[in-house]
Amino acid sequence: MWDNIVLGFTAAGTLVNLGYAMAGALLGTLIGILPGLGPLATIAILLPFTYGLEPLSALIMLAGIYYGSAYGGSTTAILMSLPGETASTVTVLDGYQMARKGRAGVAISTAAIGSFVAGTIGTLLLAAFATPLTRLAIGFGPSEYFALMTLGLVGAISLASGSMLKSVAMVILGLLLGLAGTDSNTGVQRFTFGLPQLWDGIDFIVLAVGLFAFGEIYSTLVDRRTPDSSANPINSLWPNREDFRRMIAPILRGTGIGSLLGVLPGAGISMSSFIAYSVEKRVSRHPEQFGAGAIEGVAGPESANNAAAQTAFIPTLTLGIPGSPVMALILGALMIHNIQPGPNVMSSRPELFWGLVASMWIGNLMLVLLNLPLVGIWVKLLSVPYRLLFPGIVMFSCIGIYASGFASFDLYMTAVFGVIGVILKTLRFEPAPLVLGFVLGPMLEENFNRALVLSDGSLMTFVDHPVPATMLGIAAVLVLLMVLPKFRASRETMFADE
Amino acid sequence: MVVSDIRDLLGGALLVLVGGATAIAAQQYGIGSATNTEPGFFPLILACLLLLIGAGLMLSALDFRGTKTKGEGLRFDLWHLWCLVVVAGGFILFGLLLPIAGLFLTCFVTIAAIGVGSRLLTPLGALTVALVLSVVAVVLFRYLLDLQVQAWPWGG
Repeated sequence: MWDNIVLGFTAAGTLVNLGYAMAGALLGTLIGILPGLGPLATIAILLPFTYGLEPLSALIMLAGIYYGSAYGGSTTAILMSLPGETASTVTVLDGYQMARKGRAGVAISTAAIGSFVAGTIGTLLLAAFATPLTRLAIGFGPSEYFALMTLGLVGAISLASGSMLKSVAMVILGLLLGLAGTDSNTGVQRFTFGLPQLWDGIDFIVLAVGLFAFGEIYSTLVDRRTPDSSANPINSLWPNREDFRRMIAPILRGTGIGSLLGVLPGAGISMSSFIAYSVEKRVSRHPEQFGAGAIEGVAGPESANNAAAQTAFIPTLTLGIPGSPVMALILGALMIHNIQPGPNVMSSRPELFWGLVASMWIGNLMLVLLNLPLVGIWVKLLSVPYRLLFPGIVMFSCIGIYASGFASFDLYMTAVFGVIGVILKTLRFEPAPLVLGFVLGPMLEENFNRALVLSDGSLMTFVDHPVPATMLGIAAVLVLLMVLPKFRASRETMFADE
Repeated sequence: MVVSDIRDLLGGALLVLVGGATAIAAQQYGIGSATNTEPGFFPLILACLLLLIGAGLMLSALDFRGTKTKGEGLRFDLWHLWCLVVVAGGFILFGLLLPIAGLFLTCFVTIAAIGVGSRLLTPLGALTVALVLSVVAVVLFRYLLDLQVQAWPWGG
């Protein structure tokens, strides 16, 4: 394990790569801090600008962007009570109360310190578990893969918020969109509407910007929601001795919870912060302080969500199966660089794999180093009125899309997916599961067809063997649980709670 | 009988429509058999699932014994449509103009248009923001990052 980590740090630790990590963290924070732009939209906007780089540099920059956007999201959540993603809705509860008491700086540093500790432990876990898991995965055949992907998709749906039936529909729609283009086995063009521009399939970035960035811009314009930017004053940045004493245990507990949940296929990342918050509230001797600016209520969930973000890379990198929409975006980025994530990456391109693992830690470090001194600047950025910011967001999105393929057609397609996304949102369909399906579509079909060929067309191949049978069994139980009214009720209260 | 949730009814209908269209398309690609699957096989399975879910959603949106609708209705009026047109139009305008007019003019026109269209900016404000951002775009992307895109209407 240590050899691998050293290999990773030698590959990732060059001056150029460190520069990209820093640039990524800076840009990620810069965009992620803008109200309404969560990590998904931020990554989607910045993704095209990493295309021209070497694969490893691009991944390193992307890791920086990812952590930067998550951190930027927490900052906005704390300062303006505007969560950019589900995970930071919990941070708002106590973070914003701390900000109102002039302790915004302490809350932001707590989030940064907690994230860094959690990220470090998460990276070590990733390094430790990647090799054994990969060994396991190499023995997987098509039926095992099909079962695993199905389990991942079902898991993602079961933990996502909103209507279950609608989430399933979104996954299937995503799977279908993923199949568009030339079929790799027969050369038949599917769902291309006679457009030669679609022969290579739908561009991933077009889908992501259309569904997420476009949607955010649209809803801001509709609501005329110009966020309250009378930013709370920042009195002190550094937590005092008492703060440190109070944050240690929540950070460690949050890291534990997040690391465990992150590995599970599904929306473990946002779940982990909810669970960490309720755990902190339960073990605290002063539960009444929660919701009124308890530092534990920031430290626990922020650590949990960063640890989960880290361990979520384990299934993404070793099995090639993304557990969350953000992971699906990262997976899409890997594919753009001609890297098919899966058990083979580690043996065929070890420097890339371990370089990425190392770069995650570097990304976390950059974040702490950059952002603690820069908090003041980010706060100033939040006081720029949104009406001046949104034209810039549109412009960067447009240039980003154009730069990814140098085709005006991509911009038209983005508009199409933007409209589709708005229709879906108006009808209360969550677009996030669609991305998961989109990324997995071709793989799911390929493995399904291959499994059938190997078994002479018998569907029994998925239940005859223990591994796929167990996985599909778990998936079936999850579906049953979701359909049962009792579980549905508790699921709704879980998200309505706090 | 009343419609208890108009969103689910419309959403279900949409899924049935997409599922149906997909099923028809899948037949044209060839279904084959389980041993020898053709390109339409997997899409057909997905299409059937979509049809089922869509039908289920439509049924669940109907309340056969109830008398009144629950929850708020659909929120989509002329203002929503206008915002949609402004944002989508911005992306399309950018795509149309860029190959002809170059980066500077494209950014300027697009931003000015969505700025005024959104009604968040005054015409003068929109022009100022557009000018500043277009200069930033050309300097940053064309000259600093060396993006291979024409900067001015006459090239460069």
